[in-house]
Amino acid sequence: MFVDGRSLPDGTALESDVVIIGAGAAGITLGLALSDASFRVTIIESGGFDYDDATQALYQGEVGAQVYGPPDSCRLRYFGGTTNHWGGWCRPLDAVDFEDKPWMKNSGWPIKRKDLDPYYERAQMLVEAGPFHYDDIAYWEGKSGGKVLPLDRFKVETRFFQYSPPTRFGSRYKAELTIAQNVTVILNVNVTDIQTDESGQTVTGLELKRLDGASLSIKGKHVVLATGGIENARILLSSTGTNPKGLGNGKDLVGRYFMDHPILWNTATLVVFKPATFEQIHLLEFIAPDSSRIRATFMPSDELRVSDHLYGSLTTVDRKIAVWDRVKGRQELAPPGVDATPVGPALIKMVEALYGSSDAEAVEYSLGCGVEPEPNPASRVTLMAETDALGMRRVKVDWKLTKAPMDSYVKTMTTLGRQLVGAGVGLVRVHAQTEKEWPENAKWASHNIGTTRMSDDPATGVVDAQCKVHGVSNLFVAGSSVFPTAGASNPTLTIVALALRLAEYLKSQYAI
Amino acid sequence: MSETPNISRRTILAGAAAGVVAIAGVTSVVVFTGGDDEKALIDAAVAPLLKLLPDRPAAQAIGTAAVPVLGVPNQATLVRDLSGDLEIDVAQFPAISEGDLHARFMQALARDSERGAVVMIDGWVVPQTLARLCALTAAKA
Repeated sequence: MFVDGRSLPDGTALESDVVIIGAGAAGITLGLALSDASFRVTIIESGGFDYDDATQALYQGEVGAQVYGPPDSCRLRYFGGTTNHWGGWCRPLDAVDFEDKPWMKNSGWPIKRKDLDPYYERAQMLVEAGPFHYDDIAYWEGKSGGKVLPLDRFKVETRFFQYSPPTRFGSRYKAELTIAQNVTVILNVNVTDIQTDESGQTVTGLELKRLDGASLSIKGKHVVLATGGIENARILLSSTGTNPKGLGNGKDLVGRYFMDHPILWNTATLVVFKPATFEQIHLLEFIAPDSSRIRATFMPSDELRVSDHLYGSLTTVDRKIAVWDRVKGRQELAPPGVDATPVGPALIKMVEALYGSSDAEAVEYSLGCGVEPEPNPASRVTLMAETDALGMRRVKVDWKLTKAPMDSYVKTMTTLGRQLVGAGVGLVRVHAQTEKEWPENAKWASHNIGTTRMSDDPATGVVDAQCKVHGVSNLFVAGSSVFPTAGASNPTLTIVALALRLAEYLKSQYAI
Repeated sequence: MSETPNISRRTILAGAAAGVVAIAGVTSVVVFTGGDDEKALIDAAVAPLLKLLPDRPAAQAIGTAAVPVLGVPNQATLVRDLSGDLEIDVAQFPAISEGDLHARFMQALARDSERGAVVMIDGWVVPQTLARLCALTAAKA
């Protein structure tokens, strides 16, 4: 059932069993997963069914020195949340992403990949990304008729992203939530404060405000904060009833470890001597006749990441920039955007001749990358003095990148290069600009991660392995803000999987 | 000094090194005494090494850029390093067949790839052995 919160009288006091704050990927997933429960569920959503400037403006804030998107541009504040402009890239985190990695400070999840496996498959259905075949090379080769490069296993490997259509969670699941007997979605109402008892250990209610100035409230036995990686921190930091530093912030961790995936274009050149059907599966995306879409990438294997102390990364083949013809020589198709020197042409000729590939046409491609950031406590979301239309302090997002991920990426590309030249199938050139432009010119993926990180230890995490806020008995956090590390995969599939897992836990709390 | 010390020493060195290669199958160790003996061995090794590369102008272009990356090695250093890369004693280069030498070279490239012995030349990931061979070509140009 849906309720327009603007129709509720000023001062209305609501009650529910489970209150979910936010109707994005996490909140809607929770609502769907709890729609067969015997208890009442209420979802509080700031926006309506459509985009609205005044509501979106509540997201405005500032950024720090690192170039980053304005906080109101990287997320959306209406029913469906940021899935309303989601690109649809899906991939589970890899097993190594969950491990404590000595070469990556502040890494390690209190759960493992196997803990999420059952939920990933269900999440895959919710995001409508097709059958769960992520790293099944033979499957995708069969579908596409293409052939991936012959890379030896356990080094840099070909790995796949699958695409959601993308599923706009709001419009896609509106009907299901409309008929759910125990789920009520209240639109156009904002949570501005999470109130607790005097001890700060139990949430007693939520303060709600509307843009017209009306105030409401809701009480719930369990509260789930599901408003995204920036706003989850903002609401906790703004809830200062028992701790001036914010709720769940006894260890000054809320808002810290903010991460996004830095993205760089034209980081390297890939030369393939006999491309044959490589492009069919690896250049840009492949769309199957059944409309399933994939994107092949180069990623370091878990084994390589452990042996070479690497961060996660994904490398995409973005465009064809030149072909080599035995008679005409190099035929440039697109400006490479990098300095050209005699070494490249000479090396291509040399290696082609050494490996007897000169009868084939070598092709150059431009590569781009997304890199796993380092969990960095100095990278953080804080509150500014300036307030929004509801009187809430606005956020400052100070994204701070460190050098380690780029060093790691260069090592990864070097490994790819030596794999290819060792097999006589290609070459890699890492562009000097790749390091020179880091981090100033890194773009971002609008993946807001890490601000309420998960840890078994309250000294190092805001939430525990069940996503419950340490020290608060009935407050939970859903979404990518709980990720202690970002991996290289886009977060939405993991957000949905974690929400399904949390829903199961909440159900268990009501089971007799 | 006798009239034949150079020949004797070279023969002994070659024989000893061949024995090391044959028995151990690992990188040979050659003790050079320096001077004319060594120079002659190095000079004799260069020609067969340069024949390994199918495209001399391309090798020179790569080699010119490789020299600073490799620390500006001289010819003797490059030949010694290549001797290790190819697991052939310096004194044996003139005697080994072109086919065997080429096979050793390709094995060395694969080995470089496997163990990460690569250098970045103008950003390109190049097996160390190929870089050294190209640098040798540039040095002889």
